[in-house]
Amino acid sequence: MAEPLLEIADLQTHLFTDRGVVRAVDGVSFSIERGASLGLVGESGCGKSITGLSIIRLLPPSARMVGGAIRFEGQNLLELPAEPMRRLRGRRIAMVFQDPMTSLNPVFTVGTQIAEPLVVHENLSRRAAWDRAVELMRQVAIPDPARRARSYPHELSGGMRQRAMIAMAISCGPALLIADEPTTALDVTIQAEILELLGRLRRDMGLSILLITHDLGVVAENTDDVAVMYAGKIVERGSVREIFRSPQHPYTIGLLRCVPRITTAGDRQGRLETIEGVVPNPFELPPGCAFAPRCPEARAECDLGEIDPYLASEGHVVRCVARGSSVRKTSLDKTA
Amino acid sequence: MPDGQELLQVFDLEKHYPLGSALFARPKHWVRAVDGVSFSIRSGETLGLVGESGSGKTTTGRCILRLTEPTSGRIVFDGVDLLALRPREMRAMRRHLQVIFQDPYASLDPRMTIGASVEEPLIIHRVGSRPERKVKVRALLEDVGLDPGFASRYPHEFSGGQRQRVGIARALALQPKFIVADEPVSALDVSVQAQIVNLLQVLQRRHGLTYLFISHGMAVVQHICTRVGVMYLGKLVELGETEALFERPLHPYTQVLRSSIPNPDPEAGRERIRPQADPPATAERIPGCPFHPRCPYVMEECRVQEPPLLEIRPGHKVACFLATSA
Repeated sequence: MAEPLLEIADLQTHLFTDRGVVRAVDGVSFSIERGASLGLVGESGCGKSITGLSIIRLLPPSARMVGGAIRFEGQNLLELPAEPMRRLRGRRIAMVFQDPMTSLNPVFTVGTQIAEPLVVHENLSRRAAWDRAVELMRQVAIPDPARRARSYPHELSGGMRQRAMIAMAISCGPALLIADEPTTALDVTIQAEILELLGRLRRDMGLSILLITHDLGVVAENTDDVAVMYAGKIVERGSVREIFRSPQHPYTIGLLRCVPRITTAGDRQGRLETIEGVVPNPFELPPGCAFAPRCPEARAECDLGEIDPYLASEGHVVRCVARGSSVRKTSLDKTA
Repeated sequence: MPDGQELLQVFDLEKHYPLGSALFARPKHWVRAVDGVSFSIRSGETLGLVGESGSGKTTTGRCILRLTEPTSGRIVFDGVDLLALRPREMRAMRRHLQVIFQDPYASLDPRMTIGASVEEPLIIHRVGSRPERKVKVRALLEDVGLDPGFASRYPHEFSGGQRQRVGIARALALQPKFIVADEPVSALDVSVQAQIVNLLQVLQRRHGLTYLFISHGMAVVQHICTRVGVMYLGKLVELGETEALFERPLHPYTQVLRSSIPNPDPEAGRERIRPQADPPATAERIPGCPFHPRCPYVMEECRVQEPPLLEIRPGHKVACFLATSA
């Protein structure tokens, strides 16, 4: 089998703050095949965005990658010097963010901004880059692209701005697109349009997509695989079909239960299921499973040390003692 | 008031904002944020208002509380015409009408302990003596599922869900009859959303509250509301019992909205009803039906004439020529 486009192994990205070190990404591993898509889901602060930023190495100043490897097209991005990394960014790996208004420059027209990377990365002339920008805008279904290219960001609706961002992201024909909450700021009708657009680009361009989101519904309908993150770790990973049909980790089970769903007549529940408690303080994570304090199935072993991944079924990995994971007893290791 | 009677009636509510602010010149354009909205809320029920950004749902909620002065219309609460009240009388009236906002971090004063924040409305309305108020604050915190010992802590020490509980305790302090909940769970993580939704339902039963629940989250609205109104560009385009509205949405916009919601079930499959275009980026007034440029079923008359909101089944109203002619 050909090697995957992106392979992350035991990634450690820590935040060094005044109050101490936060292990924002703590031993994350996953891979994405060419043309495949992975949904990285979790609640705020779980480390999903930091994982995305680690891949393109655009981390905030307080964050540092202190371990692991990110292999992309045969290179370990952690060891790549700054200059080749800069060339890779935009050209082979592109990223789209939640709020297009903060990513677009308000004083340049949209067309100029889409043309810019083509001039920088592809050595196109200004004229040729402009024509290509208009073509890209057509590709992302912006109506009347020739006229829209001369618009400034504030003149476009939120959905149009996000389309423009996507046009910019795909302009150099990247192999991987990282989309971090690309539809969270948008209305639901527009969200559906943008997700359809991403799916179409993936098919047409053979693009691989890492979709970072808090919304399980978005993942269910738009990606092949899903990885669920909690407090810096991936607690469960597998195909969308498998994870939604038979979730194994108590956190995934809880998350799926507490999402209100549009139901048919008579099906309305009186009370929503909840996950009791709150996300642990990132400065004081428990030594074992970080979900244990909220977990209905917690047992003594959960707190003893690092929980190893366990293969529940083909391609379905879970980190949970109650499902068969073994515990690496960190305290014992030290004394030994 | 017994359940089922109309506690609040809104007649032809309008709120227009001037667009562009040329000094001394009369504004050329107006944004009709709320454009002739009428509905009523029965005592003990939860009426949902859904719609996308710019639909006017938040402005409608604010106008009812007179946090924003409406341009015109009539709002009758428990037999009292709210817009006829003088500012002083309105302030006294606010005991009965409270609000919960989306972002409790923005609505709580970071320099006040949460106990002081919850106590503040009691002081303003001169309720009880100091020791009585302290007891009341502890009871309120307990009521919303917080440890009464938290009263001496500050907002930054709490998570988003806990802060929203504080916001709810504050809204409950004066024992209101009616609460406008404006996107109360939209900023929260899903696991916490469910906790707050459950809490709102428990409190409603415990205190006999009536809610106006404003949200863009259709699934939450379906879960918590007895009836739902759908707003689009300042107009109420459909209003009906929750079951009927979700089972057989009549307005094409409601159908589009309902079919756009991602379903957390990869095998469910859903048929999307696609809008024809993105929502308008400008505030220009659209002639005829406000949804006609995006409507997949647009007819000739929709472009020229505005469809009125008509009751076409008992308790189910819709503003659409297609639905009313069928």
